[in-house]
Amino acid sequence: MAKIIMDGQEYEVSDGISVVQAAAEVGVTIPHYCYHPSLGAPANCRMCLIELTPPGAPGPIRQLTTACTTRVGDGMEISNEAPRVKQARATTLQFLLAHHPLDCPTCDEAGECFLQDYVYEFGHDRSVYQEIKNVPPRKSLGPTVDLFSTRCIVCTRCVRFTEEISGGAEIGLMHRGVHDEIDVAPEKPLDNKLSGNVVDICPVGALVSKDFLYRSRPWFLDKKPSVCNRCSKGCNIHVESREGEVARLRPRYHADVNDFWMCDDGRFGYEYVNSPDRLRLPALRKNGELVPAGWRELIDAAAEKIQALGGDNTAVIASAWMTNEELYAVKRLAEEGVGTERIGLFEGTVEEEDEVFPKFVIERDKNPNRAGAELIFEDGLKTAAEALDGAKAAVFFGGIPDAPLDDALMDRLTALEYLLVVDILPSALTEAADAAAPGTAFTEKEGCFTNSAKRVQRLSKALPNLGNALAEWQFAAHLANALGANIEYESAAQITDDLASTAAAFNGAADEAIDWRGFCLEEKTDGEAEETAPDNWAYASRFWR
Amino acid sequence: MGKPKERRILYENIDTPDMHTLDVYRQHGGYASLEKLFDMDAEQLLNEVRDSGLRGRGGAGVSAGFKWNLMGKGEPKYLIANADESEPGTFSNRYILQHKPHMLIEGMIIAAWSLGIHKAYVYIRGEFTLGKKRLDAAIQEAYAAGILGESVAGHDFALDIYTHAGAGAYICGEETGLIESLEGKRGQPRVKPPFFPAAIGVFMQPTMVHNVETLSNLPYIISNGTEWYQSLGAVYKDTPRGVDPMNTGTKLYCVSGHVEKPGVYEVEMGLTVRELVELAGGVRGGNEVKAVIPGGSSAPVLTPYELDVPVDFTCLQMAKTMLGSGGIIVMDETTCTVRALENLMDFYAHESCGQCTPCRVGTPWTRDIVARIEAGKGRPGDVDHLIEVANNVANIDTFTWNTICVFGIAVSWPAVSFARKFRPEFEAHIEQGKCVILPVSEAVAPPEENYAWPQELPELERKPTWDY
Repeated sequence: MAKIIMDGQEYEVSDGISVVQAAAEVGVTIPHYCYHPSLGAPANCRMCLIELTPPGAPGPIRQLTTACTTRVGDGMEISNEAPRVKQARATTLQFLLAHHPLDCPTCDEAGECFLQDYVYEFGHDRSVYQEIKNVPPRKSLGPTVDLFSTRCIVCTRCVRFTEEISGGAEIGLMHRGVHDEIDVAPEKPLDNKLSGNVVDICPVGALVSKDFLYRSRPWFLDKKPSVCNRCSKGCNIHVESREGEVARLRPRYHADVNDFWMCDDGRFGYEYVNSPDRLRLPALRKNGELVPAGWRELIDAAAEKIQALGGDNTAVIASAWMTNEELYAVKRLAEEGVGTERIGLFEGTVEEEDEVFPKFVIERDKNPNRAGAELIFEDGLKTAAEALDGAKAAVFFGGIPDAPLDDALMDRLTALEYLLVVDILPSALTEAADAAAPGTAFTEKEGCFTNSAKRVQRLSKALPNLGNALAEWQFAAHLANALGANIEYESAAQITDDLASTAAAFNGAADEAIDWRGFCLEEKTDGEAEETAPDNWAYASRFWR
Repeated sequence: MGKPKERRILYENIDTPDMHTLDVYRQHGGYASLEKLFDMDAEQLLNEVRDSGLRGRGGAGVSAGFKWNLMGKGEPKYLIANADESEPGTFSNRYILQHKPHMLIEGMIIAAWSLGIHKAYVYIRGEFTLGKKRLDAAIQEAYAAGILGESVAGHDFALDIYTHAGAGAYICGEETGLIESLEGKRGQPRVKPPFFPAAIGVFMQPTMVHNVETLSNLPYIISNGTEWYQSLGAVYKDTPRGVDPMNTGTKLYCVSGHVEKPGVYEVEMGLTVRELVELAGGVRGGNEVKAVIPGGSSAPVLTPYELDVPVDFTCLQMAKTMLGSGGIIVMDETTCTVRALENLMDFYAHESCGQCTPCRVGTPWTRDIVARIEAGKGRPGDVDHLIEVANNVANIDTFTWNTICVFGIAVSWPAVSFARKFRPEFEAHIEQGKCVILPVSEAVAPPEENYAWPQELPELERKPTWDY
């Protein structure tokens, strides 16, 4: 720890961090644009100027210093309040706004724009610029990102992102001086799987997501922390929704999982959640056709069928896209309700190799909770095909959009005497089922995923269930109870606690112990790994939106 | 006092035919310093250079010995000769490259030996095609004669010199911008700290960057000794603290503009502006001097009231301007100072690298204001507005800058000094809505009003020997 004096107050901050981060640690905002902990400090925005008195110096140094390039040292004195600091920041903002179009009313960023915020806090209230403004054109940088060049403040965060994190160096700085423009080379668009991140790191409204453009004002969005479900990495995200629809997904900082980033597969892979085709009502096959039915009717019918065909002959197929809690409820359904050892796992795509970028990895396993399923079912887990081998009936949990249902599996499933499918989207499978029940998408779930590094991470219920849909754990419990079990859960949190107390692998991972940084199942004894990782939590909580 | 005379040391024999070839250079005493050089060790040489009082001739005027002292310990180290001479009004290095390239090579050998450097670069401005051709030929000759290469002049010391042509950006004359450009990147200066070239320079290794003229002084310092070198130039009795009193040696003054005989004049430091103008044949047609820029276009301008300021590091700093690169631009009574400033600002607006905010936006902004005034579209208050905008880039009064490099100063200083010192002419433009050239006496603001630092100049202890 280092002792610093900031604006007359003494603070203790971590060693070796930049002054911007140190100030964030103690709750002080030092405004900045170009600096980003994962992208270095080119010190080109000149916004974070401070008055610095180095340790032991008789007085402040003559020049103002950039806080982003200065590392804290014991006994350092920093002033954010000196008149010349305030003036320097105000004039920098004046320069930044000189060519800015001031089109906040039509700008996507308005409301979460650092230019707005800092001008409000540190800037002047009127412009003295009387000359002609530069008006560079709006451009498309690639399939996902648009650039409003007029709003650009040339902080070069996006340039450094494509150079250092995604590695393609697609975005560059063209021209010189006041004609500086962010652009891509002809025929070389920004088309990689991390492209969406440049929108997040853009501190102003210059880079916008084509997906989100003009869809909503940020202040209308309901923002809930969650975990991405598109691969086993388990990137921390925020689900931002408006009026019951997902508006966008954005990465949430996690030092040990995804840093500040997420991939486009996850970011833009939420359309199915908003699909108008989503299953909303339980349906039963009557006279050869699926017709809407009540839950009681469906569950009673299912229990009757399963009892008639025999629990031993019934397969329970869980999905690798279900939460730990749902999987545990399904396990109890299989063991206590149905009484079968035919437990299979239905899974999404698994690719040949991880997609590796210089500082980010998209994992090959496109199932968010395979690790959780393996830990919960332990040795009892079979593949879906194995579990179905010789079965007469099946309770099938799907919930994977565009799931690769191969013909062999389809044939097995359709050949069954009774098939109950819990899914979120209509498919060939739900069409073929004897009963189809609506489930929940990941934005509607409560519970946790366990990522490939055995970190249990929490999802929050960002959206209400659609129509009459029941959470999978509720459905599993109801069905088990109809089959004679006695499962009493009132919330997903209860299952989390139950899981933590009964399953050895989840020892200690009780509901209370899992915070928004997750709970690491393997490292819970030492926790060393967390300390060595670069720690930008304080920075992220203050500057990452 | 007699007529001021030139004192040629660097430029001695520069007009001799074929001086750029090794043979002719040797006939005139070239490479003599190498005989002494290899008998001296690094510390001796460092002391020699520090005691000589040699200061960087590129612009900042940093003591060469001081800079050598800061050199990092990492290996390999690099030496860079900055031949990007891009400051408007400066043209002394190009003649060295064209006519005495071996002098530069000799100087580079001395610096390299002193600092233990085995790889050196010459970053040449792209426009200097003849200079590059001649230097390349000279380097080839030196390799053939065993002066460069595995063993320099027969000693156990290897040195390779490479030349690199710049693409003509002004900012690549700034040492860290030059380094970035040399590495093949966009010519944008680095942030200091931490990227002081002596610690972290080219390829992230310790690097010594010197101007061509600074390096060219070294052979003469080694050959003739520090005492001889100290005897050249002005010495002051007492200077205020913080002002380096060393003004030793000769300086290549590039006198241009409205003089009868523009050109490079090598004289000992300490000559006044008036004497220099006289040396260059006086103002054309016997006109009156209106303004003099003493150190390349970035230096604050001097008015006719300040013509008795000696043109050296100390006095110019006290007069709140700088010696810079020694490019002296003389403007006579026919000059419109607003037009002159517009010309300068246009240059800087074009050359700003655009990396940091104040410079990227502030430079064209000041240009636009000046252009507006010159075009007769000035508004009341524009002069103060101009001064404020320029001072927000770099403040001339507090000697601070909000930019990454000192380009901010190069923009702000001329803008503020022109606007303050020639305020009546600026105001006349605004009032009359057109370009008006006032007579000198009316165009200049009286000194007591607008000169930020009305200083007493230090008394010269000994006039240098230019009077012989």
